[in-house]
Amino acid sequence: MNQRANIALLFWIALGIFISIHSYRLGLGTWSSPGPGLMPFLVGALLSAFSLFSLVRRLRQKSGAAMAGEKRRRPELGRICLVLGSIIGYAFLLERLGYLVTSFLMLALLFRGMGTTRYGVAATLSAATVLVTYLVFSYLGVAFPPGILQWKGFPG
Amino acid sequence: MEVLSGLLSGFEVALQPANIFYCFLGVFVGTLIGVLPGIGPIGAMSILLPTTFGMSSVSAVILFAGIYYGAMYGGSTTSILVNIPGEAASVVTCLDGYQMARKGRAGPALGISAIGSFIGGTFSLMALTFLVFPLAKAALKFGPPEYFSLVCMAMTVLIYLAKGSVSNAVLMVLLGLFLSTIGMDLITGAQRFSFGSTTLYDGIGLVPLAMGLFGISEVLSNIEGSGERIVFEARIGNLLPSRSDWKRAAGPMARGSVMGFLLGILPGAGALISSFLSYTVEKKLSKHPEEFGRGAIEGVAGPETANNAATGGAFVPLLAIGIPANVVMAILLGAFMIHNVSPGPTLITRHPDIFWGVISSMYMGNVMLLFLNLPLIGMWVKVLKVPYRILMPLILLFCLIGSYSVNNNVMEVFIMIFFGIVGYLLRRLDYEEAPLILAFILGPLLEQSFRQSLVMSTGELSIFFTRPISAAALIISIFLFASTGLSVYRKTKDKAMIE
Repeated sequence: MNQRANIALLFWIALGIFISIHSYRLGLGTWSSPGPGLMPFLVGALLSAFSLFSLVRRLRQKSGAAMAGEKRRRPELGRICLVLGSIIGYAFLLERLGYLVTSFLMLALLFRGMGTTRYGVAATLSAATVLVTYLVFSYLGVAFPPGILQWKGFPG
Repeated sequence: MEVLSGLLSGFEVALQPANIFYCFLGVFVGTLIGVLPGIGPIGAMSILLPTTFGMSSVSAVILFAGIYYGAMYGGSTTSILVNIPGEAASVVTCLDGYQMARKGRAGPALGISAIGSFIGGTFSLMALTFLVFPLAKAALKFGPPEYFSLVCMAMTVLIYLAKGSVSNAVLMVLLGLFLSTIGMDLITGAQRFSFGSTTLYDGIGLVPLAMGLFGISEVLSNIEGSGERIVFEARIGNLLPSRSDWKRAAGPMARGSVMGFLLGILPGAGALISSFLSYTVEKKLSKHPEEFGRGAIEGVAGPETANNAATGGAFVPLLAIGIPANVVMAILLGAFMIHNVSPGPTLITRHPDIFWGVISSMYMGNVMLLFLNLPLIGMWVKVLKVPYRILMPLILLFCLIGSYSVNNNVMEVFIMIFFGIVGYLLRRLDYEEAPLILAFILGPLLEQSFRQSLVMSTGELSIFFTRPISAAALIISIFLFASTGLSVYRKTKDKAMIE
């Protein structure tokens, strides 16, 4: 945990430096006529400086007695990968396959993957959810991509 | 008199059939969101934001306001019956509410919670009604230096009141400010950090960012503990508190109303802090403090009143000055901007129908909520039993629809997923998302007022200290920041000495 926190601080330092350099190139302007780079430059510089200060403080503390490590829950990587994979796949397929098909597939996969034991139940629940959400959100004015069902005349 | 005539005209707007419907929809969805752990009002409002494009601005704000204070009502149900807070601000209600349920007093706990919420909500609305008007008039005199200093003060208070580490809160504020600079610079038109992407041309959207940080990352965090919830099955009998319950709850409700309202005005987690403070105060004032944690009705009445009173207080800086006090208000500000309405001192003069309509509808909403939460408690108990493995895919679907429908652009969905992963990693590293998103929303106002002030003063930074309101706000900010830094320094020194 402490190692991860230190790595995060190193990341913020690097990000701050990147922001400051890029902002400088945008142009800081003058105090009486500030340019587009001034605000991000100040933010980037503060980010780096503050992270560096925090990192040094942490490293100095750590050099004393070992800090009691917090017991952290190990992430359920399998389920997290399932969820991330599903939603990333959804984003890729949404405009190709359309809302109805893509949502049905994603929901069925997630219902099944998260523990709904029977395929039939997962499929039925997905189909019902997709239809209800399609009707409700279409009524509210949301335009869905028809995708492969376009030729069937489904409105977006 | 001006206030009363404003309220009357507001009721004319609020009592239009469409607005009654949106008010009811808002409080119903809000209660549902509050009852169901896993998605809070922020996630729900972000998801519904694109669907409000077709509505009038007053209807959209009525809907969102309803979701916000509705969630405060609903959050207590799950705290009392399941010992899991449906909403962060209902954490404290778990302490005594669940114990009351275990002793067979779930009914009075739920009843006093709903009634206390109604009293707190209504009181804060009345205070809001009479406070916003003069404050907005005073705010008409604010210029860019005042806005810059007030935003600095808001961010400093936010950092001061941060739940976790102060240094992490500072980093999140800075990150939020950086994210707000991505896209086109409004003053010069230059593109900043978009690297040629047309999606980022106008910057990162509020909806994908909020839904990623609060929706997707919440789901990823909750996957780890997605066991079944045990709902307290005891018969929920009479919901009305007894006479002695009323006697004991009256004081806490009165104190909770005032405390909640005042704390709600402050930037940061107003509802959460007000409920904790109310609990602490009631325990100190009680003649039987040993009962707290074992089913003391004061431990439910005070915090529940306070968290609803805080919702009214939170509207004060948004409606009067245009500065959001917390993340929910920040999303509401986003909703206003989408509908081309600028909340702040000019709102009353330019859009009196919106201003008074929203306030009047909140009176109506509080009454609706009392009737939703008392007789319909059986329905909410059934909702509570829906397993998370069923809810989670639905929450994800709503997030995906929501982010896509902002601009019918699938890149917004990818941005949401990206921030979902970022939000999840931030949570695991003990960073809070709330300072990030508040700074993201306030960033443009901060930068614009800073640059305008420098132009006005031809580069002299002293302008921030020569104008009295600006000077006062900056001095408070410096003082708070210094005292936060001092307490962190003391803690570090003590730790080093112990070692």
